[in-house]
Amino acid sequence: MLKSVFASPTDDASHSSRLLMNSDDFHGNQPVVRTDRLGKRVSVGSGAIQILEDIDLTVQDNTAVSISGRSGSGKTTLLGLLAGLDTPTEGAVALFGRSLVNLDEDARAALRRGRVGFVFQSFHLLPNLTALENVALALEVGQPGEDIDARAAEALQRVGLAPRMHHLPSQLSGGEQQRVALARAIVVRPTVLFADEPTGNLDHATREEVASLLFELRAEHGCTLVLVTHDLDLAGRCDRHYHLEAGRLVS
Amino acid sequence: MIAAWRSLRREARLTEFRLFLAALCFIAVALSAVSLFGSRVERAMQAQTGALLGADGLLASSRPIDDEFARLAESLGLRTARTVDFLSMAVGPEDSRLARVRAVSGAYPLRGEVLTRDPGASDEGVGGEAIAAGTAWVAPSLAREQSLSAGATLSLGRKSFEVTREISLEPEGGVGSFSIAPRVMIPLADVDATGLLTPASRARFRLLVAGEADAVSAFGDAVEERLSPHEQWHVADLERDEVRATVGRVVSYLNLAVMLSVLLAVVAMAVAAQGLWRRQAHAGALMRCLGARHGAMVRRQTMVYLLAAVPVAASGSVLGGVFQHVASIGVARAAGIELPPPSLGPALTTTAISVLVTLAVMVPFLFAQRFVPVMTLLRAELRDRVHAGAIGVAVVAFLVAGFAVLLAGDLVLALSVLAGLAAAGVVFWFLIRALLAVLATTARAPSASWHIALRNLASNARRSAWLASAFGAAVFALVLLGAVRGDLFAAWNQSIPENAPNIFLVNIQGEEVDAMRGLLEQRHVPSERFYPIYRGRLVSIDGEAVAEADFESESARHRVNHEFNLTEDGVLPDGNEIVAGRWFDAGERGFSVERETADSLGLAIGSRIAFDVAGTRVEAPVTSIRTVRWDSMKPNFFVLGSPGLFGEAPRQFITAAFAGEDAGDLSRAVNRQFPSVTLIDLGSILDRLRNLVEQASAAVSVVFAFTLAAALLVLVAMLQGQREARRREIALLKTLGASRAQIRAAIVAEFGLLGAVAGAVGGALALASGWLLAWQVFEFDYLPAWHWIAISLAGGALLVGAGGYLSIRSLVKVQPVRLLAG
Repeated sequence: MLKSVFASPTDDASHSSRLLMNSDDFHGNQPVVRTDRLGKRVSVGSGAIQILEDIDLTVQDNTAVSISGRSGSGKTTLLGLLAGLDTPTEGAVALFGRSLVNLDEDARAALRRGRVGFVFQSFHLLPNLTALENVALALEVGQPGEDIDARAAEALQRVGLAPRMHHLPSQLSGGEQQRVALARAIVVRPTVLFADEPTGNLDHATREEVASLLFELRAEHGCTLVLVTHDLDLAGRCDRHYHLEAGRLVS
Repeated sequence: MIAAWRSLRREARLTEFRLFLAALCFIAVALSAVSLFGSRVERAMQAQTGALLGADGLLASSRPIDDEFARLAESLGLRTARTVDFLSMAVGPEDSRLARVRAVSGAYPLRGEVLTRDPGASDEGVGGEAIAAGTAWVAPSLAREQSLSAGATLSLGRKSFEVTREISLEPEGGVGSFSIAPRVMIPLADVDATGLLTPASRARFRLLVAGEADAVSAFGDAVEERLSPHEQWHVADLERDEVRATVGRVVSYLNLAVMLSVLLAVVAMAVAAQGLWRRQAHAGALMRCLGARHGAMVRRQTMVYLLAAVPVAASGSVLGGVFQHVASIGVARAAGIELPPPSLGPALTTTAISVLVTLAVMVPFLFAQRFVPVMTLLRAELRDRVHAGAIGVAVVAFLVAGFAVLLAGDLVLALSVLAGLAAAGVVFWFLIRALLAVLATTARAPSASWHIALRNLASNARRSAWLASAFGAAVFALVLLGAVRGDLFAAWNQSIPENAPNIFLVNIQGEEVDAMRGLLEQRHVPSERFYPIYRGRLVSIDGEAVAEADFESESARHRVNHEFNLTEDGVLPDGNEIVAGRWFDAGERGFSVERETADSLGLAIGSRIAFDVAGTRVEAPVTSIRTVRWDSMKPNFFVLGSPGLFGEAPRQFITAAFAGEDAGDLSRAVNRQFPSVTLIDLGSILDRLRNLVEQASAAVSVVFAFTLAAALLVLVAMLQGQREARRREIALLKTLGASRAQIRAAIVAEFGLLGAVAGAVGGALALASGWLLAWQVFEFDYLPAWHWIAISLAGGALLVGAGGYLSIRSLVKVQPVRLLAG
């Protein structure tokens, strides 16, 4: 079953590199993310907890998908698995048509490089970098070139923070910090954007502002969005909605 | 490279990074200052030892020394001088007398000086004069005996000399000069005119050299390759018994001071690095999330550290050089000694070591970042697991051990300090945790602030113990260096009793002993026993003839090559202790040998050794091995024989006496009554050494200041590392309704308590270590001054309380909403 869905993942290194080339040929007709009976179990003391079980989902290119559920339902763990930040204990997951199961961390990082954007609940801006530098960081890692600062400034302009580009995160409000994080996510023109509770740390008014900006940017860049949220309004803006309960997809 | 520069600029904005670099700079400054200074003091002491020889090294021969050797020495940048020693009859106005003539070239002596005074005067004498053509300087005994005054004529062979000065002190005029004939010194250029030196003459020709230690040793190596059987090479080393013990102690103390201050700086660096590690674990996870490869990140960060560390370490080394220069000017002036110029080598080494320390602290962690899950970005609870405790402890332990061995240059000292530190670490951790637990459960909080402080201490036991341990380590080093320093030097001074002998009387003939004893009693000068001295050359060990070439160590060769001053005694002298075998039984024939001499010559209990004493072979087994307290300033002997062992062999007597300030008077009286007896004024040598020791201890204050600064750096680094946690705690307290005043009081109380506990434990452990060091390394009785525990307790409470308050003062003022937002 796995083989039929996932282009024969093997441990063979040469085969892996061929698959990687295939992933570069990724085009819109393929799903951006796909899972097959994906599961995650973690050890706790002498026992183990099944956090996710039998997750089958497909995210097509240029669609917005939300994953919601109660606290502890496994939303964030699922997002980590889909983005290749974590490895599953059962089943399989593919990003851009490439199975992540047999890839080491560097190979998974290479797959994300310049093609995946992230927005986190707690922003994760580096405190010693200005807004401009935080945005430029994504380009330095993913798409190094001459015009890094210009592109970073342009992205900040797009999120309305051009006047604050030389400020440190500690000099920005929560909403402003999340807008910098949005600029960092879209500056590489990603194929897919993963967002984990992007409005979770914001007040009501700012939340709306940031959510609108997120969807505007997604529309402008035509990228896929995988959004984890427990905010049903936000989930309602997506093309497709998944709901998790106790580690299983129920819708 | 450009990317690394950009990263460096960004890293420099982190307080943790700046603290880390401050600690690095500190290590470089401390290492550079103390190693440069330490090496200069050590070289100065070496030079003082050289002063006893008149040179750093000398080539001696029974025949004239080839000019080729002098040219070789000069080509190596060494200064040279020549002397010729021979015995001759000196004809004075009243009588003639056998004299030890030393003809010297203008540059003599290369180290130390010949002190001279007007004939008959009793002052210490002045140095720095060169002996003029046609003039002679004479020993006080000769001047008295022959009633030589300034301008008197003294003839040697065919040449008459005008006596201008009397020699009060000359190189090699130490305790070892047992000789019958008094000294006469003349210019080398006048030797030919005396007509006394012919190819058949028995004379000792010497080429003296002095200069950089490397050049001296290169010269020695070159010379030793082509030595003829009649030539010998000697170097000035710290083997001279009367100075060795003192110099060894000062060097040990300097090593200890250097080691502790550098170790403390390393601790500060590791503490500062912890904050940096946390930051970088987060940044690394984010970078990997964005697609960065781990290997590329390690390379780039390593480059960042190198770019930062090299200039910081180099600047620190230069700054250290400046500090030590300023300190050395003061010390040199106060001690009246000239410190050799600093060399570039230590500065470069210091820079390299500092950069290596940086890499050793940071690179293992960069590699370990691979194990920090990227998921920490999504799951805050995983972040709490991102602590580098094990790596940190391993890195610090490795660095501390490495530094201790590198810096100590003395295995016993290194092991003592390492064992002390390891024990202190364990004791700190458990004792402080136990004390905090007791405090938190039993202390009754008089107010809400105290209650908060105690609860904080108890609920963050690990954090509290970590802070207290690091600060306690700083107190430990400070008390050990500061308090123990004073106590150690005071104890050292006390180890030389008030009435320790300050003169030696040598060459006393057997029939003069009673009269001499009478003279001393009459002048109320307390004296030691009169020891008979037999001059003997070691000729065989276990029946096999010995030769210089049989031994590798310089000291063994020296001993084989020279006559021993032997004595016989039925009672073990004061300050001697048997470490193997037993003291002579009545009627037993045997030798008792000093331990290091036995070691260097490969002697054990039962070894049969034979001496040639004035043509008579005296052979007996070694029946005991002794340690000798050389700085007792009493007559001490490498080899002692059992009573009657040397039979009727020719002998003289020696004693030591305490003449107080009256050495001059006594000297005149002795010279008048016993013209052949030589009085050696040990006082001036002792004063010079004591002065040097005191100044060296004062110089260590400079090192101590560095240690104090390192301790403060540890405190700042620790407190900085806690800001984030404190931020959350203060926000919570404010949210729960605590006032600013209550929070301030709680912070001061918590840190003050922590400081008091750390101070008391650190102080107590330092006293225990001081006692251990006094016993094992410095070798004197030491009574710990307990008041230091109270001082360190109060100091710790004050310093940590104030430091803690100042470090998080700004957080108290901020609104709770703002605190929670970050």
